[in-house]
Amino acid sequence: MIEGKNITKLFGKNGLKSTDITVKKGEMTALAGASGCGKSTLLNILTGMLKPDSGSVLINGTDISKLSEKERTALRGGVIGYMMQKNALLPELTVWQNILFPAYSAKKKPDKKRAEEIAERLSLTSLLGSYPSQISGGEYRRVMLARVLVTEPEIIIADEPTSNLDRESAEIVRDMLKEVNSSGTTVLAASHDPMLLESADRVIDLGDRSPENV
Amino acid sequence: MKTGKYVLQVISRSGFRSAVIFLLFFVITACLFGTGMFTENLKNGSQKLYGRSYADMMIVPESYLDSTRDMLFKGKACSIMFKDDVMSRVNDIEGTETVTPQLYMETLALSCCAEEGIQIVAFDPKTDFAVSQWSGGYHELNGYEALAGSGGNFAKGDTITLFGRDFTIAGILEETGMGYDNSIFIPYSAANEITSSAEYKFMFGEKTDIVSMLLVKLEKDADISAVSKRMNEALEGTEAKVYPVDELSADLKSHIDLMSHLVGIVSACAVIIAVVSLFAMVTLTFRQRRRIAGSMLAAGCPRSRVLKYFAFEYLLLFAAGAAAGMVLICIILLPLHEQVKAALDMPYKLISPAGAISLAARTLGIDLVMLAAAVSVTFAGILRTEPALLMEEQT
Repeated sequence: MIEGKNITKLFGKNGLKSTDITVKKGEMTALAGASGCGKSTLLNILTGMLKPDSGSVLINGTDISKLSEKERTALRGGVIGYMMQKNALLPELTVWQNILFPAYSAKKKPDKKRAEEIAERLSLTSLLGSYPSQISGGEYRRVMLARVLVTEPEIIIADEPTSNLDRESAEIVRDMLKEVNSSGTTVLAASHDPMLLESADRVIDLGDRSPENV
Repeated sequence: MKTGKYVLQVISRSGFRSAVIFLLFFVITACLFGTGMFTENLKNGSQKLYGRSYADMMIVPESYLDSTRDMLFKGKACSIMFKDDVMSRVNDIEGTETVTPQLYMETLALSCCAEEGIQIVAFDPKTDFAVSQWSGGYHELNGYEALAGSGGNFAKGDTITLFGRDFTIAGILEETGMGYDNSIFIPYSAANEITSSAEYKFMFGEKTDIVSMLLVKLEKDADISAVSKRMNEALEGTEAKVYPVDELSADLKSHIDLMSHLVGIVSACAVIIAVVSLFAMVTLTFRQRRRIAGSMLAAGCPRSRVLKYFAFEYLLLFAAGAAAGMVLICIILLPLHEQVKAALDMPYKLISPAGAISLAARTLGIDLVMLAAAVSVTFAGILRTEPALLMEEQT
């Protein structure tokens, strides 16, 4: 379960103001709102990638602001899987190594069989030996999703998981998120994709740079 | 993922960046280690030279002062001779412990009865306190036995023909860093036989009862300037003059200092350029590394391991570059040290392995300080910045 209470993070005059958000366990929630309204900032705060100016974030009842930097990082490698909007693959590693990287980071023995299955489901099998610079944008986003899925996190937080993807790739990503959600994983995805918003259990609209309206 | 495997992959994938960093460490190390080795060898040569003559003063003909310096410090063969009655004038002067004569005889090029261009040094085994120190007990020479300097291509048991006489090499002297390294040492008795021979007289004229140089060892606590003054008074009317060893080598010392400084300045310029380039390279890749650090942190990789990856990459490139730089210098300076010595025209002696290891350690220490300074900004930036903001750097 994700609970964000009274979260404020300002960058000059922009940012989030006193935002509350709750995502129940096993729920698939979509986060909507105009570009620049603070969706990515909120997700960064919920994943412990960014400290809020004020407010608190509870992940499964634990206030992450009270965790050390190391514990927050471990949270991302374990309980939370974070699929960022930005290019977050390591350019010097192959697709296969990138997929396994979170498991290695958490000092876990990677479940290679599961990783192969995920790669196959996301149509990545033929790309496993390629480097990020050698694959298309759609393939890149699918690799990022595979990297998140391989550690079997309790919560998946995804930032624009289907943006700039062709129809087929977007469908694969959406189906995969829905599938893991149906198996019990909590999913919170910020998106403009109407089909993704439609497939969510609930949509939270951050509005037009007016977070207090949430 | 194992740090080593990751880092090796990063290095091979980022070929240009890795090559530049490797090259910079290579240049920095080669300059520091090369300059250090060169100047240490020069200083070692001069120190050995001053220390290994074992004499406090030398008496030579004033008009042959330059020839004497050339022979002693540069190994240039020469013939210097003056009457040995000089010896009796200084032998008993207060403060003098021992006076021993040496005779320099240069073999002539194209001579039919001798190896050509070799410096022969005759010494008196009874009074000698210099040659015996380098010879490890070989100075008890019999008849036509000789000792060879370390710079010649002689082996014990070899035979060498000098002025029509065959001498057996009875031993090889330790390296002195002086002109003596290229000389052949024979007993005074053999030298006297040579100078008394008809062939010698025919070629060089009547040369009996002669010496080239007197080496003077003073009594402990003797005042060198007072003894020097007394000796010069005793030598009045002769062409000989007393020179303290330090004075004889003063020009050479200043020459060595000047050369060391010049080499140091050139090397410092190269090092400064390389260090600035290193800082520029690290700064240029700073943004890219921040993004990668952010990516790793987003994937749950602890910050300490992120820094470990980066540090290990730099250390590996540093180690490879530094090792290559040192190997290059060793390849140049070790096998070619005789040629370097000849080209320099001044004392030059390789430092000991322990000295070389110490120099290498100092060089690596300086390299590491530079590396730490260059990457500290990157590391501090990564340590201070929140993971999400590290990712923002790419835009």
